[in-house]
Amino acid sequence: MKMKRRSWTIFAAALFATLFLSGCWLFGITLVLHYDIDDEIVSTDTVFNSVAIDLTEEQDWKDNQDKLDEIYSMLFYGYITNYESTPATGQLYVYKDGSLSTVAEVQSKAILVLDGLALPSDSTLEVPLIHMVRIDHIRDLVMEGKFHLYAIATNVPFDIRVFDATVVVIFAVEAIL
Amino acid sequence: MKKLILGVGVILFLLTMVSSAAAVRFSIGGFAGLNLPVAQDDASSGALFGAKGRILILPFMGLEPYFTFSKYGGKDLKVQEKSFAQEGGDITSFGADLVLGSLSAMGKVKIYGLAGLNSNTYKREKLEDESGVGLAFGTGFEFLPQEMLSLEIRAKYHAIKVGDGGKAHLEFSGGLNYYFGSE
Repeated sequence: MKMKRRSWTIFAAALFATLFLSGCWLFGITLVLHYDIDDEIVSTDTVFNSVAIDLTEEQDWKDNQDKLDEIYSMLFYGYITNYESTPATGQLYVYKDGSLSTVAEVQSKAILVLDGLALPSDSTLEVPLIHMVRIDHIRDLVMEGKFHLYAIATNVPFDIRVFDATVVVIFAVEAIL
Repeated sequence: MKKLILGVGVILFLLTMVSSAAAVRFSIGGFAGLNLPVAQDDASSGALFGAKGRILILPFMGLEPYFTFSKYGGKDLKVQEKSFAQEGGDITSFGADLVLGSLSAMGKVKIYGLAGLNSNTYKREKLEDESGVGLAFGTGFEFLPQEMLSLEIRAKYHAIKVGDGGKAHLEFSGGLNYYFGSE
């Protein structure tokens, strides 16, 4: 009986030690945050703007900013209008700020997160809620909570507008025990 | 991760050899049940099933290697008044639990606690697979209407490291075990 009791004690101690040494991922919480983008992106092959995304404005983010563990996924929803009479292929990029001013700069410095958006000529595409790619490349930027979104097309000339867009961020935070 | 898998494999092999040599009682069985995500806004409950063995090392201690396939149910994400169904994802796990309790006691009902380590692969459509170590602990009841056959129900908390974060769920399962060897 003594041996049995001692084994239980050792087992319980080992379990608790493992729990503490393993970190807080054992009790992680996954949250979903919706960020509606009020501004539009108007983009041609010569002039364009980006939109600032500031997750730190959001209450869920504010409440958990110091407990962020991981960005699991980011999704995009919105409308893109192609004003040209030829079809275009849209792309979305993420960069730390709004300083990029040429298409070449965007393509070389920013991180491509959505590609292959087929934009029919003279029409508007509703982009359904889709996962952005290469999250591991923008993870640190998103963890900071502030970044810019750029939209361009791969063909020249292009003239597109992104509006009524929403970014959804799925992230992990430590639980408070 | 490879070291963990190799380590678990070696331990299981050695225990199997030892148990065979000593004619220790062991069981094999299958189980199925429900997987309930804990505090995960992007997933809902799903099904699980798997197979396991149990080798009795001591009268009150056993080791259970297992394989589990579990599913997170999907969730609808509402964006601008529109609803978009999102897939929950699949998890394949294998590992081993240390089981402590009245495992070889006489009687038809046995109660035990368990804890163990496991290796997991988390798969979601259109996203890269994530692999991570996991930890599980829980409790179970085993009923033995016959000496060689048992019916088992258990509840288990299972946390998986995904990136730097964690995903946890509760596993409720029931299953059948067939025993070999005598007590």
